[in-house]
Amino acid sequence: MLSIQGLKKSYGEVKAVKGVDISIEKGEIIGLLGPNGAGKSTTISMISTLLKPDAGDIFFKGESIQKNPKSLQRVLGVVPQDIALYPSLSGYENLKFWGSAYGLKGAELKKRIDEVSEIIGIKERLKDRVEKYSGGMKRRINIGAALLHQPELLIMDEPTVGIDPQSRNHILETIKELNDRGMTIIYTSHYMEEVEFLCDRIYIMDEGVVIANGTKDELVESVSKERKVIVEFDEDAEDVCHAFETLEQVDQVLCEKEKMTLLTTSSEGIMQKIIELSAEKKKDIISIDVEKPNLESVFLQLTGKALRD
Amino acid sequence: MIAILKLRWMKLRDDSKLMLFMTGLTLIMIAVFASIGYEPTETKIGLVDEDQSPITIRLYDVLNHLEGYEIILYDLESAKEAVKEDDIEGAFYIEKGFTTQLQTGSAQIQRLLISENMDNMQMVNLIDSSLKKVLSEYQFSQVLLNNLDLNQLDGNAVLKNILATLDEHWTYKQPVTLTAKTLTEEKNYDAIKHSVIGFSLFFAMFTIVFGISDILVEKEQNTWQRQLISPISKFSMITGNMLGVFVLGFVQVSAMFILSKYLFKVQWEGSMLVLLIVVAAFVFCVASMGMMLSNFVSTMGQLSAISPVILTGTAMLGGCFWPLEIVTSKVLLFLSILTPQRWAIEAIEKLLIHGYNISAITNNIIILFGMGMVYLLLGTLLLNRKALA
Repeated sequence: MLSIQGLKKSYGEVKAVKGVDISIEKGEIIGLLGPNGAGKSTTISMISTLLKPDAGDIFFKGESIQKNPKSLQRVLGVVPQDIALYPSLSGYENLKFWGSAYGLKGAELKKRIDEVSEIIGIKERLKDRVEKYSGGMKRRINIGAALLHQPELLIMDEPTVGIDPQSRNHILETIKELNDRGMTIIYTSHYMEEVEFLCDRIYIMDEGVVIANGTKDELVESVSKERKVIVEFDEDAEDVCHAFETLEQVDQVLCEKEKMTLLTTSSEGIMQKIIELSAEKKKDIISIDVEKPNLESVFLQLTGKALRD
Repeated sequence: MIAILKLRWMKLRDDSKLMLFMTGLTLIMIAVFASIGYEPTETKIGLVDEDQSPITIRLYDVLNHLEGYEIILYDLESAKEAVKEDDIEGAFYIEKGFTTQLQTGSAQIQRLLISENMDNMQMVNLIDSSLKKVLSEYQFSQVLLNNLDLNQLDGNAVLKNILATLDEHWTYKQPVTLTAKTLTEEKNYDAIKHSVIGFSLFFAMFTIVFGISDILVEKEQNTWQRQLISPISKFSMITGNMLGVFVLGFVQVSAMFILSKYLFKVQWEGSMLVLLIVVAAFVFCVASMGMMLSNFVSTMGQLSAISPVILTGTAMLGGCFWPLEIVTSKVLLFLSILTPQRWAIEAIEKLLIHGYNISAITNNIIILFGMGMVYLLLGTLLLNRKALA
């Protein structure tokens, strides 16, 4: 549906995007992850036709959007990171304007405003001025304005920044629902759990390039198969801990008095061994945790920085 | 473009507040100027005549007939007091024996002043020209008298008669009369009408410039960027905004002329239809100027800081507050050519005060539209350059 090839963009000396390739199939939710300054917003601005790339091209259904941006603009919905609404107008008036900007009018426009306000759960407050809305409500209208014309492709740039958990959950559920109806979505976020919850495939960007992409499991597997087993005892258990140092399937052992951390690529039989050795050394176990690598650790390993840096 | 026009209509409740405020300000300023009026004032000058000779008495007569001056007779002490109290601009002091001293060339007239200023500096020319006139009359009379047989005539009566005849000639029977007549029977300058025109344009400029600078607010609110990625074309965005502001400014300026006619009973000459063409050209020009200005600043706050300086400055140069006829500086007159206000005021005054027809103001209309086109072109180019940066 959308193919991005060799996209580049510079601001003076600063190379914001250094050659990005992304492909999106119809009905997918794609996650775009990256720390601040990774080039996500610039890439999204180019996809949404706000910025012209210095090099490369974006093809929508096989047609270059540089040559014919209108073909994409008509079926594209964009939820910008910053609220883009008229604060002195009511929610209804805002939806009315953005609907008419996409060619809706008359009864059809009214019907769509009704439907969208239902979806974003803001029907009762539509007559109020947007400036009187809470942060969460503004975010919902901001999303609603992008849904009126039933876009084929929806770009959401961090749509849940700075809102209450209730609104956030509502927005995430809405996105899932829209995707279930067949809408293709590009989603960027700082929140790893949102991306994990929503996205079929994830592109990780850093310093203007895509450094990894795939499903969540593929990304995790590509980085490491290592599991972390953390055992807590009720007393100093260094003798138990040292007994694991000689075990072949354990790659590394960290002993800290009552706490023992094992790193292993094959956790098979490890639980049984821990219980046996603890019983043998007469040490009582308080807890055992097994940690698989997640997107956060993938991101950390790939970029050397945390996602919210 | 329809979508943008509908948007501007919805936002009119904000824009109309600014328009009503500016219209109110214009009405207040016109009312203030109308109540002040422009009554001609006379400069009061004292005269202390201790000589009391026919020449000095005649000098008082001549001075007292000068337009714009009121000559008041004092004794020396009263004259000094009046000057000190600022009752008069200054006083002439003619000592006893002045006429005798005239024959020896040692005659003097003193000026009593607190300090020299623009008004009393004129006193030197005033006394000089008046005295020359009196002396020439007097010498002429003396020549006549000397050639008459005074044994048979009363000398003083003859002198009096000669002076009266001369006076009559000075007043009514000058040998050459220079007169001027304009072909169009032009009306005189009218301060009230000038105020209505000047202030209407001045305050309307704020509404128009701030109206078109709504684009800046849109950029701050990110709605401009959102429109850019919608199917609305950039042409529609610019024309829609321009058209919305144009209507607002056009209504405000036109309303001022209508209100001034019925509220302040200002009698306008000329065609109101032609006036609307001038107003349209002016509003278009200012809206385009606003579009260009909004590219030089990033926020509405910055625009609010620079706009009053630019608008007031160009209004002063363009003659919104006073007629350009009183400006003598060539530099200022040249700069006025660059302001839209000058061309609009000139056209409206020609039309509404002097009653000219459209052919006399065609150049003004073309210049206003031309300036507007240049501003619009620059504004659009800058807007596009910034949008892609």
